[in-house]
Amino acid sequence: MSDVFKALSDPSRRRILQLLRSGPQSAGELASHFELSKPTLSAHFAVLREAGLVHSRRDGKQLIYHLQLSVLEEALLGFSQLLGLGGAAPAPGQTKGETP
Amino acid sequence: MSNHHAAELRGSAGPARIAGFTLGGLSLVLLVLRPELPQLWLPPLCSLAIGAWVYRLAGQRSREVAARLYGALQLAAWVLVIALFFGLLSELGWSPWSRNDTADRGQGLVLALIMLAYANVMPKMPASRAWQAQLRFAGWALVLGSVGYALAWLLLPLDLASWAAMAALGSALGLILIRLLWKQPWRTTDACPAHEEAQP
Repeated sequence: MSDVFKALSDPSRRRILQLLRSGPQSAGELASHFELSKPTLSAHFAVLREAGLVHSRRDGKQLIYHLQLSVLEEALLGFSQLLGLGGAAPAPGQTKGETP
Repeated sequence: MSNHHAAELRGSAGPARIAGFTLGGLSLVLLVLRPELPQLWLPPLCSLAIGAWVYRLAGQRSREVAARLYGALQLAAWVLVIALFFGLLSELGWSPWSRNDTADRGQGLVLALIMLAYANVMPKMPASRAWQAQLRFAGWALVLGSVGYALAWLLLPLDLASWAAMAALGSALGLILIRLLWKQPWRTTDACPAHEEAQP
């Protein structure tokens, strides 16, 4: 459970989860919403995968990310968003600090 | 063992241990209070020992299997904890209800816990986009229905509790069915995601 809290504490990771709510997206599509470097974003994906909040599937050369939230995790995501834990989620295309 | 499975094990070990220790503690309290009634404390103590042995055996063969077993053992332990807790309340005369009422209410809460556990993880199942939305809706509806079911058994008079509990659960199931027929996720043809994890 501590992995889940750690994953949800970062606004960029919460933004990734929000984007995945509308459906599976490739790593490239998700990256287009952020101005983070590739390694930073990969580190965010790794944290989300370790916590079991997303899972990835390889489709040709692309990695497709799927949301994998339980009801409790989705409620926690909503609460952390509401309380703005770790700062507000960055708007699409907005630059954020690169600290996964 | 992959990093993912290692994390899964680390994440599930804590709550499972808490469940195990609570179960052991409650069994021992009952053993001290009512040593003449082994039917109260012996089954949970045996279950605890068998659960720990099965987990250790599975862990030696495959950590992945052990990780999956953790969830099942944890749920079983919590079910026993609730049953023992209500048994203890009855034995100590602290229960606000009669002995028969306590048994009925405890049974209702155990059922609610099982439904809650399964409804919570329902949206985690891999599915196509349309089915994923349906599973998420079903998960939320069943979680809320299960909470209503549990509250009904806890708070309402017994003659009303079973009806209210069934109404809460029936409403959730009705909503799931209505959404299923309305959205018809089987008509969409988007691909179902593969079960295995891709490593970047």
